[in-house]
Amino acid sequence: MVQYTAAPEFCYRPWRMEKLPLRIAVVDDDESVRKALKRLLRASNLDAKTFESGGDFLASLASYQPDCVILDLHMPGMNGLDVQRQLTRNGVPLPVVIITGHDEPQTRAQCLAAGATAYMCKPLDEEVLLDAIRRAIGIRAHESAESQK
Amino acid sequence: MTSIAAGDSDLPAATKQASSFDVLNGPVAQALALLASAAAYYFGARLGFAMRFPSSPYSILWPPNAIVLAAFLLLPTRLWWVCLLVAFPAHVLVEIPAGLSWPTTFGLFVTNTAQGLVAAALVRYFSGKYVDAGAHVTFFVFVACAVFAAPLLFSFGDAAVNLLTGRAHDYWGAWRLRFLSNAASTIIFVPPILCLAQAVRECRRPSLKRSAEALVLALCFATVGAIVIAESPVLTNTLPLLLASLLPLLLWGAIRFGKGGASCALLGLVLVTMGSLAHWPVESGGQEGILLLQAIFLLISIPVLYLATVHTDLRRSVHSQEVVTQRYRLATTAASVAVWDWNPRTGAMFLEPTLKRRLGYDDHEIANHIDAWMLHLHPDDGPRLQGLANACARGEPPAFEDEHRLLHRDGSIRWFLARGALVRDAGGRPLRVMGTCIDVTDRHRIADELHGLEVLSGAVLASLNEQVAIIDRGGVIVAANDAWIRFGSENAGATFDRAASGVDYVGVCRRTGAGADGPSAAQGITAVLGGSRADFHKEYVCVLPDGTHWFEMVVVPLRRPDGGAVVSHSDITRRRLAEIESERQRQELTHLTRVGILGALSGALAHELNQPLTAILSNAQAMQRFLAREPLDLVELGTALKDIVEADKRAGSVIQRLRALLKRGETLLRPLDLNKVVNEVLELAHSDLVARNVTTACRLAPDLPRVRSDRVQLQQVLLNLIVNACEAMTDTQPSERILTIVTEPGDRQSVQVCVSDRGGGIPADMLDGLFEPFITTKKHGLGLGLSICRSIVAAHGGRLWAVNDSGRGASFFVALPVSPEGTD
Repeated sequence: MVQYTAAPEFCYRPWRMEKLPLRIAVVDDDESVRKALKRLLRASNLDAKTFESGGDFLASLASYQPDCVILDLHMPGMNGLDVQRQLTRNGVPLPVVIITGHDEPQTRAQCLAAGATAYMCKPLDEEVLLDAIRRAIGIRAHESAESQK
Repeated sequence: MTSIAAGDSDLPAATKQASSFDVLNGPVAQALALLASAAAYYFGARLGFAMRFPSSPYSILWPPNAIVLAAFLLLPTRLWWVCLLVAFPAHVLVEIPAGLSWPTTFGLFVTNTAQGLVAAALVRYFSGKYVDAGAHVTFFVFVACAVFAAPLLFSFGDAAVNLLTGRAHDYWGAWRLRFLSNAASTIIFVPPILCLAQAVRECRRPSLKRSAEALVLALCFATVGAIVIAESPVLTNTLPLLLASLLPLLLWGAIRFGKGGASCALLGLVLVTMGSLAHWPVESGGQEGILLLQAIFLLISIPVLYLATVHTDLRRSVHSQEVVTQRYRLATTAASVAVWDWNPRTGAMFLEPTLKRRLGYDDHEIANHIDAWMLHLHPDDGPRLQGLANACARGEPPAFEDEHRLLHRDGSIRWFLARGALVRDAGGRPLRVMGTCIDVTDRHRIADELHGLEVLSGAVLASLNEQVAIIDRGGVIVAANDAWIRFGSENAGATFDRAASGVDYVGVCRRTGAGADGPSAAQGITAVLGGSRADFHKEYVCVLPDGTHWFEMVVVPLRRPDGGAVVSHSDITRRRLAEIESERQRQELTHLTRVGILGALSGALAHELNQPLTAILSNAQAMQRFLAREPLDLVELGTALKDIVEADKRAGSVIQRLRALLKRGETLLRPLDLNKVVNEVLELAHSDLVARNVTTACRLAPDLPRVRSDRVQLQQVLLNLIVNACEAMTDTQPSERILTIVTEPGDRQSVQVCVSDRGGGIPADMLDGLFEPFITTKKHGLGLGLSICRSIVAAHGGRLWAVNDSGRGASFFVALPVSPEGTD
């Protein structure tokens, strides 16, 4: 039996001190990937919401604030990088995890330079993914904690 | 008497004259003749009475009998009774007033006219029998029958009658008188009448010269006559002189004017003589003299008239001889035929001057001797010709024919064809050899040229590598070259067997062709022979002992009036193998470029595979987590598994499509829906398009007719165009990166797909050679992609072309023919 390490199902929001499930947004143009990721995240007790395109996601931010967003890099229209840049422009402090089918060194550098917390290649191993999400949230928590001080 | 109209210079052309009896054929002429004869009878009788012997019923001359005879000779037999009818009154008119009794008159009439009848009948009969023998024979017939036989016979009767009636006292004296009188009358009066009738009938105008001559002759006669009459000599003394002086004139008349002239001259003589007699006292001694006179008349007339006849005959024969000679000359000249005449004993040979001239010599330069002629013969032909001629001279065989060469004066060779035949003498012994000689140089030259041409064409045929045969209009082989014959004998029964001459090749092809080739070849050959096809080509395979050979059969029509065709088989194995190799290499290249394209798309393809793999992994890992939970959410598990299966299938199809594209397969033409192919290609390229931020705009026409093409190769072309389009737009703004694909029905039963980009367009200097191999704008490109695409499209019977868009970018069009099966 595989040992699952404890997933950061809960986080303590300093300002609310509530135990809430983490909300993860998944943006990918491929439906099967969206469904699979959503299932995996739910199996890990994470609340996942999937979006077909970057545009859809950004539009939804008004009503749904995720704690992390998983962005597919290659999408028609706005790709992952564009979404990320848009978020930074809008000043949304959302941690970004980039996933992609291609592994190109310059794109990796670009994304990380743009502020992505992680850059992962498909197919995604659950541990790697969850770990990346944890780190992303953790950084954010730290940052927010820092900002509170 | 046959034609007496020899008085004119132009003789009738016919050598034989039909009987000139029945000269008077027209009823008018006949009527006139009858009247004239009646009148002549009367006046002749009066004249006769005037010349009568004293105490004798007979005259020196009795014209009426001669006139009657002449009438009988001139008139047709059926009118003889009319003649008698007309003559009787005249006879009566003369005799009765002279004191004769009616019975006597009647009796005399009967005997006289009977004499005329018999004479005329005899003359006609014998002349008819001997009509071919010549004029002189007819003359003899006349003399024998009319002058001698008839008067002789009837004088018996006549003398008897006169003796009985007491008019004569001495039977033989009377007989003699009557006989001589009638004979002389006949010979003197009948010829002129007949000549006159002939002349009137022929109506020939004598020339001025002849008329003048005749006039002169008449004047001479008149002169002599006048002298004789004026002198009134004693008959016996001057008779010889009389005759002697007139004889030249008689001969002149006979020779120059023929029978007509002779008879007129004789008449003249008689007139003169009678005129001189008028001065004599008639005594019994005179009677003897008169008998002598009659005999002399007879004796002179017959030879002179005979002379005239013979002379006429001679002149006619000379004339016809001239005509014959003229014809001969014309014939030999026109036909370039020369005649030769060789006497084997003496060696003398008559050679026509034209023959000598043909060799460039004048007549005198070659002697008329066989040896002289033989000198000019070609040394190879001389002995042979001499042998033939000698054999002919002996009669073994009595004729020969030989072609031989003669040397012209200028040294050139002339060919002559000589023919000769042996002429034997009366005893059957060889006399001379005569024959013809024709210049056949031209014929030989032409024959030589033809032969040369034949040799040349034969050599050409023989030297050809291809197997060539000539068939006639019916498809039967008439000739074949060496290569054909050799192949046919070495490989009997091979495909489209190389049959021998005389065989119906169409049938052979039908039988020996493989499968459907046989009938189609037979049909093709027949079409070319019939003129409905300009030519017929067929490539076929032939398995020979040393391996498989490819042949090409070509049938072309033979341009000649008889028709026919030329069939040739060429061994194109080497060419075919080269073609096959070339095709194989092309296929290889096509495959390589396809692999290359796929290589370019490898990233995208990897991405395509990655998506389902991601789905599978994540779904599976999710399921693992769910399984660890309590309670088991089976629904969730079920959907997760379903998603896994789907994702796997999707991956599988990508692999499958990839495999198909990577396969090095043979071209498989199928009816395809172009829209489906476009969609397949877009799926393949999807990731790449996404990666490049290219937006695809599709306008696919519904109900597009299907096209007949190979799926993989068509996908290759479209992929190539799409990849090119994407690469063209690398420098374009992402928002402007639009790839447009439009499918629509094209013109003339075709379907068109257009791939347009918004790139920089095709540089103007590259537009012409865009589809040439090794032309590329890419930094790392071979430049083969578009040329391969074009060859693929061309192999499908379509067209590929590019156009720069007026906005920006370029459009590539592919037009493909609609599948014959019809629309979907």
